Amino acid sequence: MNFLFQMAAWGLLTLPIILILHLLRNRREQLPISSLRLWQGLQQKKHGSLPRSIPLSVLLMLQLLIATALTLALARPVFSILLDQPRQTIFILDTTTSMAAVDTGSGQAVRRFDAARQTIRNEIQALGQRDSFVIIGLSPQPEVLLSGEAEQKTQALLALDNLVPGATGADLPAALTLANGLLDPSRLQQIIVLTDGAYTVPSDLLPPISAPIDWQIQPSNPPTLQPSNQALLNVSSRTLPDGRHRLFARVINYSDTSVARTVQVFAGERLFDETVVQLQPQAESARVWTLPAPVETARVSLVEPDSLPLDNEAEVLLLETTRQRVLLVSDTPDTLSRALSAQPGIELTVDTPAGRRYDPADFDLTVFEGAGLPLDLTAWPAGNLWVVNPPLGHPLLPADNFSRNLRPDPATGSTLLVGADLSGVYFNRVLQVTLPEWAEVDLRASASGQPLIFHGATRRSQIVVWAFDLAASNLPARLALPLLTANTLQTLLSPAPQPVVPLGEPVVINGNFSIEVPGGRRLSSLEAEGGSGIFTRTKLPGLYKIYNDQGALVAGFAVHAGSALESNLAPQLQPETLNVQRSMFNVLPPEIEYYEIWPWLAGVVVAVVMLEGWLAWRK
Amino acid sequence: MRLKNIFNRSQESSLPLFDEAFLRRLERLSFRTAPALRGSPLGERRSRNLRPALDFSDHRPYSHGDDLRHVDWNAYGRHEELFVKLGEATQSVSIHILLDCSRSMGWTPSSKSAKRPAGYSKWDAARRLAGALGYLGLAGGERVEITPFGHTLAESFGPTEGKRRVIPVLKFLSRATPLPPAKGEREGSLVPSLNSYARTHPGGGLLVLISDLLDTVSPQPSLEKEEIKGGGELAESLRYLIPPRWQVLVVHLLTEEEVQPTLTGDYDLRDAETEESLPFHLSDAVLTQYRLRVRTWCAELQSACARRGATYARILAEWPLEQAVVPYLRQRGVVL
Repeated sequence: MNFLFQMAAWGLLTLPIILILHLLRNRREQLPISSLRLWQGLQQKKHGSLPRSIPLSVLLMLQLLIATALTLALARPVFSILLDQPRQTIFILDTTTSMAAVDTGSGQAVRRFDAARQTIRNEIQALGQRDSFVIIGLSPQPEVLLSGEAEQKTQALLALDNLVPGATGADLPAALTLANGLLDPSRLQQIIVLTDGAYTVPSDLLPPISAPIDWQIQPSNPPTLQPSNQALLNVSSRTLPDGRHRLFARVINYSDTSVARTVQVFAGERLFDETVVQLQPQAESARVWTLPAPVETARVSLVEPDSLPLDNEAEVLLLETTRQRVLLVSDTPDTLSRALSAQPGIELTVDTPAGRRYDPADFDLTVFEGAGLPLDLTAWPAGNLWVVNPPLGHPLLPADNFSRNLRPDPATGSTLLVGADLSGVYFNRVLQVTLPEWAEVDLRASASGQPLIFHGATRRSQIVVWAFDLAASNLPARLALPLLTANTLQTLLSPAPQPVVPLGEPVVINGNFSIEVPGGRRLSSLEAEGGSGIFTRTKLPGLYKIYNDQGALVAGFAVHAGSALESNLAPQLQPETLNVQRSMFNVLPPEIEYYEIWPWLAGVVVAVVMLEGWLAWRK
Repeated sequence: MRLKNIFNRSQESSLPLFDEAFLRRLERLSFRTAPALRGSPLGERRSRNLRPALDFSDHRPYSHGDDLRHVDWNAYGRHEELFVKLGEATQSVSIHILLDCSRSMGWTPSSKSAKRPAGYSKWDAARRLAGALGYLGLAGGERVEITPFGHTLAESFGPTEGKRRVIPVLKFLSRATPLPPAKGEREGSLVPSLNSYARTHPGGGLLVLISDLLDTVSPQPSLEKEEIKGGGELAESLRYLIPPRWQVLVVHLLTEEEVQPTLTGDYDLRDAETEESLPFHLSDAVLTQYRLRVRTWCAELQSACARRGATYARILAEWPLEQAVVPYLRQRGVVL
């Protein structure tokens, strides 16, 4: 039962007023007696302190009943069939790495994620037939992990068991926004946030929420032992000129006590070094090792167990796996080859139009310069294509003639031109190409508006066209050329995966590769994420090796659990200080039928007044 | 028939005093007076004093002035001395009924506690009793005088004798009303009233005092001791009415509510005589104290009566006259 006008509760003050009035009105009854002489001197309480009890009478009871009923009627009580309303429970489950921490409380070691999962399991099992639920994963990119009706309890519970914590950073505002958007106004809503609070959230970023929030901070019971965690951070390597590898690692103590930790370094499977590191509270220690050349992987680990085992080990791949292969087909490749070779991570291969020794399909990017673009092409080949100074009369780039002495329009803005200063640059030979349908102009000539640089994509290809001849321009002598080259490469080539990514971080992998995840299982990058090129199954720390169609290891990356965001297990979130706007809580959902009962109360008042009148008349 | 009509159309009293059948049954009774009580010689009551009489009982020597008709001439012939024949003389006794008509006698118990119909009071019971005793005296050939009194004596009815005088007696009683309290009158009125009555009636007789005797209660009783000295004032009053001249019957008339009050709660007790009020929380403890005080008071009154040779009879106004009061008076030896 709700009250729509709660201010009417002040009307209850009439009850003591009525009692006081009855007490004042209740003078002592005169009792005539034959003589006071026999009564005088009897032991009794003094007159002033004689107890005055509340005169319980029918009229008093009726008047109190009238006042109470009137007050209730003014408060407009509303009955709604709350129990029959379907409920919607949205769980925001923290899936960050810190939820894998183990807390020791009440003599039991409980993993935070398991405790939160058990809570969700209990809530789901208690759902009614018409209830529904949603589980949102709290991570840097919150997403809906599970959702369904109560009928899908069994499947949901099975899927719940397969969830694992593994993400770096938590975006609570985004998760609450997502939850708020999923609220069903026709249901009784509740949001349950299950998190360890090992992060901070600015209150001003929190969105207004139209459902009550139940904060369940893990561990729910204060642990008998404060979590003690030491983590390996920033484990990385670089190849020295002599082929050896320099391995770097930081060991951080996130506990409030001094600890000694044994650090082991493995080169491949061989123990390379073992050292003991003394760590002060909240202090760190950096270590560097130089590994011999013929090593493909290296692993650093902390031997002693702590609250979060995930960040006690980190592996790195010592292969050069981030280079992009570029094929340059040109009769005069000097200028472009210099520009391409200056770009980091580019493995350049130069070919001549007559030779055609390489298949463009084997390269990440194919650059056709001048006559390098075959005139017999009737369709753009698959892959990333960069066309420089296309020949006159090519069917894919129809043109009438060449223009001369053109200058770029400085007002033209494009991502391809970021950072490039084209003032003073002239182009003496520019193909007057008819702009294809798929193309978008990046740079035009200042006077004629003739396109100088444009890009676009066909069904199978991404194409950038420089319509001018580099040899007939002063661009090669300007700093703008390597910048334009870098921008063009960045447009055409997705960046290679970082050698080390945090746990749960998505990785962009273009092309069809098979990825070997920790544990030896291989996944297809296209099958895994629907061909989007984004590989998100990085919730297990370890090495992820990328193989091509021939089964050769072409790249790889390591996933590390240790991070400053997750390895510090001390709770920082205080829900009671969060300023979550809840202004809509007292508003009944419009779909819920509710009944005001003040007319009934008013009827009771009328009936009681009539009864009182009858009693008074009879008296 | 006339008697019944008179009783039923009484304007002064809302209740008929008696019915005719009760009066007939009452005629079978008579006062039991002390033989030593003096009276007039023309009555029917036997006297302890032997007087010259025709019916012989004893002789005494003739003295000057004796009626020669009572001389026993046969004894003179035998002894040559004059003897007068003595016999038990009959006499009529004066019945004095003093009816307390103070305001307390007219007090009516609260309807919340009274077991009698509303309006029934000690005054009604007192008038009924006075009427019954008066009729008893008239029917027995006694001289009856009824005197209401409050703080002073009021106008008396009588003395009168003869059964036919019962109607004026009852009319007198019907017209009688409780007297208003005198201004500033706080002290008891019993002593001066009885003193005055004794002085104006030197012949003595049977005196029936019908009163609630509340005037005998000391207005400021001791708080430490449960003594109210009610017996002292009664004894002082009876000092003027001592035997053998007077035979006194004290009818202590109270109501059930006065003896055993049952009301509890907060009340302003208002004195029926003085109109004074006293706030009271009537609790069980207070009522227990009160009942103990009443018992003590009655015991003192009875003791005072015993000391003065008077008969004490405590009667509750709620008692039915024929079924309870008359048998009680017979048990106490007041009537035969």
